[in-house]
Amino acid sequence: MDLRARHIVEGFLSGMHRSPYFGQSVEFRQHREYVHGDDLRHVDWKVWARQDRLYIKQFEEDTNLRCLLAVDVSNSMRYGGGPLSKYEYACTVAATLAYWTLRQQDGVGSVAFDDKIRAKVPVLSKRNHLFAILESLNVNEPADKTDLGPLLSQIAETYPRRGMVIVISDLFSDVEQTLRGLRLLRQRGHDVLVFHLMDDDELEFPFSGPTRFEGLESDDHLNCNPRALRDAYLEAVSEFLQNVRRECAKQGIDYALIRTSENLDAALATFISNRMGTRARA
Amino acid sequence: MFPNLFSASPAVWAGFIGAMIALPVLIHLINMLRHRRVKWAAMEFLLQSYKRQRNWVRLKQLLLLLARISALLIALFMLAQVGCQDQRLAGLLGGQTTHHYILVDDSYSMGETTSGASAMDRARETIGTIGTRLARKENQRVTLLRYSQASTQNQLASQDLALEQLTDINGQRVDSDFAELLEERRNTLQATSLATPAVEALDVTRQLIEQNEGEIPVVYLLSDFRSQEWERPTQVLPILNALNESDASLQFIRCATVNQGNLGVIRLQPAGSIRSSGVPIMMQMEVQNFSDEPVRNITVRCFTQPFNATTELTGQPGEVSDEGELPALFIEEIPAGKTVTREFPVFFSSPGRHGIRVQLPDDVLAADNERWEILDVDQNAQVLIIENGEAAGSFFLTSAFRPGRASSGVMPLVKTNDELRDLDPNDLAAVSAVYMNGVGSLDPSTIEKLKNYVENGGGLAIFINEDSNLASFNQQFYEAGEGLSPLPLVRLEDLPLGEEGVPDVVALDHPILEPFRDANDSFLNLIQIRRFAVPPLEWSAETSAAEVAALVRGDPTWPLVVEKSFGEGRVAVVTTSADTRWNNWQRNPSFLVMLLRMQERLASGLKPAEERLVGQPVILQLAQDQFRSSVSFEKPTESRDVLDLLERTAIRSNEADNAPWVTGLGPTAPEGGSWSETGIPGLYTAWAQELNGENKTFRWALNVDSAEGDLALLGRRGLVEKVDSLGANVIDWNELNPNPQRDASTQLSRWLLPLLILLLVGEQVLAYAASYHPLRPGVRAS
Repeated sequence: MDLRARHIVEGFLSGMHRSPYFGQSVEFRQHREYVHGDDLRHVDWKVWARQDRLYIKQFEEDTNLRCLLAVDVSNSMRYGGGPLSKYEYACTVAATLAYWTLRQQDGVGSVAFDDKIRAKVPVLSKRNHLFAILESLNVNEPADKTDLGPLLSQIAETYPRRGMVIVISDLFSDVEQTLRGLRLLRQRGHDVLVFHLMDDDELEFPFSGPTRFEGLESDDHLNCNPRALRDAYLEAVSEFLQNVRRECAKQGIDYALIRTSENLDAALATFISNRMGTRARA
Repeated sequence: MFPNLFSASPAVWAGFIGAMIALPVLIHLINMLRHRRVKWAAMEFLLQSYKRQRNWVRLKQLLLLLARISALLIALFMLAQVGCQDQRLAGLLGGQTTHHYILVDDSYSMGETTSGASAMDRARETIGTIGTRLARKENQRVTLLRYSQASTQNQLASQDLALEQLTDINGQRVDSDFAELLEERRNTLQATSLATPAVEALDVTRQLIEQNEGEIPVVYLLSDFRSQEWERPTQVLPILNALNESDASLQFIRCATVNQGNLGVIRLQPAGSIRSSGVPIMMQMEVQNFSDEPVRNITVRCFTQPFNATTELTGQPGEVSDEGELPALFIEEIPAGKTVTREFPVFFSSPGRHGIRVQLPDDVLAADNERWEILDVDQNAQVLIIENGEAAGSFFLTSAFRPGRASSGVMPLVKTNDELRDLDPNDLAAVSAVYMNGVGSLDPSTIEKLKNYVENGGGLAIFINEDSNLASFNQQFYEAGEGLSPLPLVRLEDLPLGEEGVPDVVALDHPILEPFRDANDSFLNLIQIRRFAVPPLEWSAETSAAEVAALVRGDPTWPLVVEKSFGEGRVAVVTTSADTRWNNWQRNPSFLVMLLRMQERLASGLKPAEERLVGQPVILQLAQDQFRSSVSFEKPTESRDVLDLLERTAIRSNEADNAPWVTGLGPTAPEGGSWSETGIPGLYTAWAQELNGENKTFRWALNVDSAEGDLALLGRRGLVEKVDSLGANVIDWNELNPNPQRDASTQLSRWLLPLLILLLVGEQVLAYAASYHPLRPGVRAS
């Protein structure tokens, strides 16, 4: 997975890292009129001397990015109609992002979860930290069902420092709870990214002939002729995706639906390009 | 529907249909079991969509299942039809032999001609067509049966014969020789002179079908289907129902399709009861117009075939007597559906059994244009006059029957009461009527003898006179209403001179005095009744089943001439005398007329009009002590100039030594003749040889059943309505397709094939809708 991440990241990651926060930095950004409560250390005394006005100096914060990768390792991620299952694809995405983050000297950590946190790696920026992350993902074979809402709330509590939280999941959980968790993360000031992984089969439902579908996360099963249910199924999936996309947009969460059949580099490039565009507009 | 491969056994049908229904269901269930397992993550959406679509999916699956079952069933029907057309295939599939029973109506109405061809000609042509149809098939058998032959089935049991002997072709397998056999047999088919209904032929067919179990029966009725037989087919329907229940396919083939009018002689008989040589005998003929339009200007030819005593005794059998033609009768008009009666005189100078024939002009049906009658003419009809008291009393009766040298055809014999008592009953039976001039007290055996005589058709007339004993009369003749007399008589009444304008004799509406019914008739006005006997006041003609022909002075309590039936004969009572002591009627011309008309009525019971139909047996019984056993029969043939001569040897009618000889012609004759022996209308003669070497002749006239001459057709729609419940197929003779394959295939394919295609297309659409087809090529199936 390390090799896979290196391969994907090399070639397109360079200088794309900028903190969204103002703070201590060498690079001046702007002046702002002093208001009550501002730290007097930031007052530009030179301006005061010339103009007898109190102005605050603001600098670009040259932060260390704290990136937390929340990877869904529940049973539903085991599904894969193509070369990679959703789980494998999610691990690849996580490894790629971790590699990329570490290369920029930023901190990265990971959380593997299903209905609870299975493995947790703290946010560090050490170069060899990547292996720890990969290790945490590798040892966790998918199991149990996804319960994303409480987990996101737990992450919000566990990681109070603002940073970037990247959720990599198929989101097959209670939608309202999931969205509530994402909202909570945003409220805590985290920059939240959602990589919504879906298999082609899940998006197109190409089955035909008598089929018994058995739930990966439950004991539910259904004997049916899938062609008869396809339209209704696609409608339900579409409704689900629209709901997630709409809510993410509302909360300022970067959302990307990624098919496991897509090339990861292309998918990430598209995503980052869209994200940069969005930030620039903001 | 045509017979098909599986029609012989409902169980086979049920099995095939059950399999056709079960097959798609089983395949569906097996498919359900053969599903592939897929571990699926997005179960929530799948279950959600299933919940939404469940009912619709089930409905589509049900429709799909029904479409597949229907398609299979139709394919099964088509296969069965193929089996019907191709018997080789039917054999491979376990098919059965099809037995075709062709029933041909050969009653005389089938001789009706239209455009130069008779209904029987069309029936023959239709049989040929059926033969052509069957020649293309395998496993076919044919039985050909005529109605006329089937009508003699009752005879079979008595003669211990098999049903098959009634048939012209019996279960013949259709092979290379069949066409020749059929051609030969159908060419011999002719319309007979019989009026045989379908019921007998159908009954024989039903029995044959029961005997030939395991075959597929097809019954063809080739007939003209006249209204008179099929309007109310109460006898036929139960048998048709039985045939239907035995899975027989019924084919009604109409050989007559055009309604045509027809004239027929429906009656020919003597008008009166006097049949004596030397006097004119009135014959009565009735012609019916069986059509919807009146027929005008009809000339009826009349012929006699005299048979004099000399010929009868010395002539030889086989000689055809010459016919003499009488002046033709002319009928101006016969209204539609009505009959017209005409009388004409015939005269025979000598006694004998003379023949009479009438003939209508040619029309569409020849068989009922002629009618024959035999007149057994005596020298004179004998009447017995019993004198009670003065012999003068009988003088007037004798004189009335023998007025001078003229002949009335009646020969009176005068006897006394004692002679009557001693008279042999056979001799009494030979007289046509007995006239009693006054009644005294008679011997009980005489009363019994008279009662037997009248009961067997004899006539008795009683005149009350001075010498009559009313008490004895009431006791011996009235017997409280049970005896010979229609009324009791309680006293004698002296009639005073009447008033001017009130006649003593008033004629009522009765045949005896019908010519004098007019109240102003001058002859009756001249009669004077001085004394007569009267019944009690409480007597009435109605309660006594008597008919009053005349009253004294019109008083209902004073009957003068009263008549009643007794057994086969009649009794008339005249309450006044036959001589001049109580009245002057004898000197009045009306007395002679009254006597002769009374004689006609009294004698009519002895010679009832006898009508024999063609096909009925002619049986002759001969006393063994008078006749030899050899008897020659002459019977008419199709050719008028030739008589057929049959020599028969009579047999004893029973085991007794003195049992009479019995012989005859026709179905029930001792020698087992068929109906055809008496199947031609005309005069039949038997020549029996007496022990003394002389010949004695017996003659009969056999005529067609006039009802068969009504040619009104029931019509195709009417016939369909009658037999629709039986699933019978009604077609006209010219609609029978000689190419059955084309016929059957077009019949069925017209409906089944498009239906099957429609169902298959529907099945594909449903299957697509129910998602049993891949969405597009290349999409991965699970």
